[in-house]
Amino acid sequence: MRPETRPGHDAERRRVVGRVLDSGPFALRLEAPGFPAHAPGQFAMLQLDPGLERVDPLLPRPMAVYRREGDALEFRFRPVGRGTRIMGSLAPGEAVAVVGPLGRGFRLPEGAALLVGGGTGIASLYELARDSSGPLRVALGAATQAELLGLEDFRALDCELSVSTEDGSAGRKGRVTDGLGIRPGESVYACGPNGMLRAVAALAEEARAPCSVSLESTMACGFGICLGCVVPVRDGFRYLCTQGPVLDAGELCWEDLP
Amino acid sequence: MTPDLSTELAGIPLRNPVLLASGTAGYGTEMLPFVQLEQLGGLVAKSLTLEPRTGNPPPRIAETPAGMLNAISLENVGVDAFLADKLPALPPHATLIASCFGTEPGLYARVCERLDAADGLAGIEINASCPHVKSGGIEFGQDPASLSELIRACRPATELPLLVKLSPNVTSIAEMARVCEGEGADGICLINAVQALMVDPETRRPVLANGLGGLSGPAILPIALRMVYQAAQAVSLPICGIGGIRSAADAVAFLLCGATAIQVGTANYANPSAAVEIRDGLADYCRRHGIAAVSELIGALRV
Ligand SMILES: Cc1cc2nc3c(=O)[nH]c(=O)nc-3n(C[C@H](O)[C@H](O)[C@H](O)COP(=O)(O)OP(=O)(O)OC[C@H]3O[C@@H](n4cnc5c(N)ncnc54)[C@H](O)[C@@H]3O)c2cc1C
Ligand SMILES: Cc1cc2nc3c(=O)[nH]c(=O)nc-3n(C[C@H](O)[C@H](O)[C@H](O)COP(=O)(O)O)c2cc1C
Ligand code: FES
Repeated sequence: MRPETRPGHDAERRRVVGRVLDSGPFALRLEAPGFPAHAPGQFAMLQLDPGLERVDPLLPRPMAVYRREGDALEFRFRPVGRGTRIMGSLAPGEAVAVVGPLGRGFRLPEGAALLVGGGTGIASLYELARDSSGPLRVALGAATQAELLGLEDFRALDCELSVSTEDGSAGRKGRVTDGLGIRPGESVYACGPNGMLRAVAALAEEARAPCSVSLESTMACGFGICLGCVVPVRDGFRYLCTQGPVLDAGELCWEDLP
Repeated sequence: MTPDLSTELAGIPLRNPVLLASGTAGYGTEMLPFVQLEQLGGLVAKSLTLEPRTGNPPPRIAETPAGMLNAISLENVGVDAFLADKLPALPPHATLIASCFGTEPGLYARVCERLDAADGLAGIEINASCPHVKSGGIEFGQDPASLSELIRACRPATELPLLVKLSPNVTSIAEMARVCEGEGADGICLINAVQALMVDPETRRPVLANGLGGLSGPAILPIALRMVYQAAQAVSLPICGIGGIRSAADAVAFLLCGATAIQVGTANYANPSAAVEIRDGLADYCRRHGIAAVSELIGALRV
């Protein structure tokens, strides 16, 4: 493992004040010219109040870059609190500051890959799926159909796609990890709630498959100055914003994660 | 007319009164994509201990109304790694102040000695006020006798300008400021974070793993202004004002209350270019008010 060669390390990062192209309860697109090139799995900090006038919320919010097309940056989310609700109700033309790209993303698979996305974690996986060149399986799960972020985009990819929802409103009824098997030679990539990641990591360990997981933590800065975003690993802590969000499943102390 | 933004803090000449606060700008290198450090008054780097130090388990931070709570617990690379790896990576013309911390006065003094021997530092700030790290049950900045013992240990350890960063968690800030003046400090910086607690009613637990934390951000600005004002009334030491500053208007308020310079903290997280915008805003303020030199604002509160 040479984490220092992961995509995103030492990459150029900037603060760009973008303009809202469109915004809805599950998606935000910004025109953000000058935002540097990013790698799949990297994220940005979104400051919804660039002039720091309202300070409610005060801190920017970490969001995976779902997709970039030209100068348009796209984010996918679920309204869970003040920040994500504001993100989903912005008017076109409003200013949003984006700091990024941040963190170390996914290393593109060299052979067959299995991508497992749960809930908002799906948003971190789309570009990885799109840019993978080997045989690809994608398993997506969410609570309801509406929360299967970007399902239509995954459908358009050349991959073996399976879908599940907890309420059965789309795909199989149940959890994304139910009956999930890892095929020989597959590398595993996962993003979602910690419970799901724990289950995927256990399956990967059993199958002796390499497994990269993208985690979440509370973040104030997103680029290594607050030291607030640590997650427990075998030999101490990792800063999720600069050493993650993608980590090797084997190095995490799963029992100490919330 | 280009207003003169230069000022001087405890014998340290500053290009302008805007510095980055300790613990909110890393070791400086992390800020380089967003600010040119040599365009600011200066940088106070993350507090350093003699040995590298690991902080608290997560959650370490939480957002609060107009602020945030933190209990990082002074995690840092240690003074030697700072001098070997971090300091040389910073732009040569930036004004750099190191911050030091220890669990007893002798350990503070040894950090000061190492820093004193290094090239490229303009001064030392002693962090006498971390609200969630305790030594012997009390922080140095909360007890006049301990504070005086601490400064007495550090003062002979360095010839660099010595700034003392004070805690807001005291009954009389004037008394603490007088202790600093009496012990030969060159300046005081205030405030550090305000001791605070957040509770999650669902789990019935404190939000932070550490329990207590330090409150920072716009929420504490009026407390900080009051304390800077009171300290300025009590001593003639130069004062660096800190606490919730996010705009040039905030910075002006601190200068009016008697601060010679200010530090931007939590606002760096919200906008890593905030300090540059504040500096530009100060120049605009001076132009708008026909002020030739920003130093005219120091202590000019109309009461
Ligand atoms: C690297 C990284 C990438 C991320 N990418 C995405 C992404 O692409 N899409 C996305 O939707 N989210 C993503 N997140 C999570 C997202 O940052 C948080 O959901 C967001 O900060 C919540 O802000 P808020 O103001 O809406 O909620 P807050 O007001 O901060 O919180 C409101 C309530 O929601 C709870 N809450 C917070 N986060 C979550 C969550 N993730 N799920 C459920 N409840 C939560 C809080 O505990 C609180 O009770 C990412 C996080 C990280 C660290
Ligand atoms: C996450 C965090 C870490 C901090 N670390 C330090 C530190 O190492 N040393 C120090 O003297 N102050 C530290 N501080 C305090 C700040 O320098 C500043 O005094 C305080 O946050 C108030 O200013 P603000 O409201 O502008 O943030 C820290 C503050 C925060 C939020
Ligand atoms: S979020 Fe601030 S250091 Fe990671």
